[in-house]
Amino acid sequence: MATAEAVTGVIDEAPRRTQMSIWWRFRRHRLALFGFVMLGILVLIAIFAPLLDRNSFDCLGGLVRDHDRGVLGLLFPEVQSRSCAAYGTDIGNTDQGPSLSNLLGTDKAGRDVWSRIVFGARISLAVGVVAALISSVLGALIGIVSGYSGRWIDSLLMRFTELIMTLPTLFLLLIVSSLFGRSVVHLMIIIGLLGWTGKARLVRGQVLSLKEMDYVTAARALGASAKRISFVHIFPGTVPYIVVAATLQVGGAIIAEASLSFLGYGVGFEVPTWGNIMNSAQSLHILQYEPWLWLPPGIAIVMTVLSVNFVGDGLRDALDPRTKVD
Amino acid sequence: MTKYIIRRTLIAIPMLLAISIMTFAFINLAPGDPVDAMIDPEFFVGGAGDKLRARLGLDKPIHERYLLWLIEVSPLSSSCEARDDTCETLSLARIPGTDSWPFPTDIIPTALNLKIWPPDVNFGYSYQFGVSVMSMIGDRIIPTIELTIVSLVAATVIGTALGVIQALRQYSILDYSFSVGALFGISIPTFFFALLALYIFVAILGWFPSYGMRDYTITHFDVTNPSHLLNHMHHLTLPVAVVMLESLGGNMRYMRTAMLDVMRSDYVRTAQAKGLDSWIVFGRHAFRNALLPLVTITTLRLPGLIGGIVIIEHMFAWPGMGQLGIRAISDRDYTILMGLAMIGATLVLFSNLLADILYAFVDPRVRVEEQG
Repeated sequence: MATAEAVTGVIDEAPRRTQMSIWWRFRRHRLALFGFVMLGILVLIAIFAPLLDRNSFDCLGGLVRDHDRGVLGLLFPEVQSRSCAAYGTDIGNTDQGPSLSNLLGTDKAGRDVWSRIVFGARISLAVGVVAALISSVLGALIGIVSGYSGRWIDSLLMRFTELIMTLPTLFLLLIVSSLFGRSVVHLMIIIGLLGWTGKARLVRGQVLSLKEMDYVTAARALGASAKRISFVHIFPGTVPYIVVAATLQVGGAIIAEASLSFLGYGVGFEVPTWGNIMNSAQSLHILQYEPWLWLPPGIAIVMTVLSVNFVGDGLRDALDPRTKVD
Repeated sequence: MTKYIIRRTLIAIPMLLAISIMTFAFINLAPGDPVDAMIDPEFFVGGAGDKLRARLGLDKPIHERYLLWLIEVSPLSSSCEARDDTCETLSLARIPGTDSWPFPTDIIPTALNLKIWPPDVNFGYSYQFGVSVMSMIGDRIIPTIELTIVSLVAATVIGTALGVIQALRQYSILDYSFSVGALFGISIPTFFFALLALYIFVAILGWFPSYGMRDYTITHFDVTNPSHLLNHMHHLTLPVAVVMLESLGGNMRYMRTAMLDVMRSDYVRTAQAKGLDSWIVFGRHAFRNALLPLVTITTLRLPGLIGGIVIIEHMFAWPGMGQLGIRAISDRDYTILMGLAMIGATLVLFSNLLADILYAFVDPRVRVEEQG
């Protein structure tokens, strides 16, 4: 009995040690740490957007619409106040350059660009995270089922995956979002539903190689069911790859949302998203003479996606035992 | 090999069918239709819109429209110009004689002609312009393919070179700054890249033209005329640079890892131990092997690259398929969208096949007969 406890103690300690070393390896990756901090700041900005707003009092005139009741709005109803500066039009104050009252100027409807960027952080981040989650769950599920069951299920699922991969994603996104678009939730689902293919193939590949491992053969010899083997024995082995791919996907989803909104096929125009703010820069005049309308939101997108990618890279190095950080 | 190619080509047929069903469903289930996009709905008084819909065949149920489309597209049936019918109709849905269902009577004899080659593909007629879709897309295929190939080659060559340099100088300042640069390249959305390029090189410096394939003064483009060609290159530079930078970072990162992997392998160590010149070790032994999977990577990247090209064509007014596509989406021009989707999918499938064949040639270890 005593030996058994000793053995369990050792086994229990092992994962903790691994977690420690993952964090240790991640921390050594300076850029990843930088990205992690940047993302933290961004999440804080998104949550406390009304406090950073130029004037976060509720204004008169029926501005209460339910467009930005995104995920964050649902999670934190108390910070869900409407922003006059980001949504309300101000006819007497259109197309103004940066000034003390409007840090990043105003757009053609007189809305404060800084406020719109701050509120846009909510939507961009929410779209990125939720879309990545959707596609990771889908991709992992399809990958495991396909890799473990083999035979016709495998070839059917893989042909379907190849089919989706053949379609030019952005073109399909444009078509589908003109069907369901105009709402943040729909956009999250659409981007998520079109992004799982890479992950499915990645997970399938991992499952195929893990399937041949001795410990899986041992589990099978002990009479474990296919479901148990694939989810208890094989799935944990694929988690690091899924986590890394999901992290990188967040960046891809943010870019996809921004591109759609920039082209005018994303969320409704009045909703402040980074892509929507940049939409007006399609005119060469605004591009040249009102750079405050497109440069700051563009930089916001790049910094966000860059941070996400730094974190993803750091995670890859930390989680993948084959790459050595030393 | 021939067997493999034939089998892959045959597999492409059900894939194209599935793609056509999916795209058709997506497009046609969308709220609004070409008639809504033509004129302000308020303008249609007294059911004029419905009359137009009936005339265009948009009142038919979706599966019927799809089958009509399929019959029209199928290479077995020749287009309406080839038949004796009048081609006055606006859209494919109004092919003379197709009003009765299930099968139009005059399609069957033409179908028996079995005209397979050259593929006389006809995607029907544009709802907005009343012109044959094929004639609208026809001129636009070459500009898109040109943009794709030039930027793909540039991204591959430059990305490979930079990635190899990084691997050979691992952990140096150069490697480090290239890595960060590559990550920047991946993190910048294509459209923002394009905006920056337009702002700096067009608006401020004025070095490059902002749109088109050539100056408007050149009415008849002549490839053999050096000044025309130079003008074309001048217009091509900025769009290619933007599209290229989009996939450059990925190529650099991939090449760096692949090269490092190969450099750690036993045969490279053996070659070094034999005292071979390092140029031969890295150039001949390592580099060539690291290069192999690039073929696959490039094919996988193709659909994404096409997405970037759609945006770039739109922003630089490049008269390609992407620009037509964006306009067709806002016009709800179903037939053009279907034509673009099918041609795009065919091109991607074809390049996938080409990549697989190429792979079998460059890597003798791969025996294609055993795959797929």
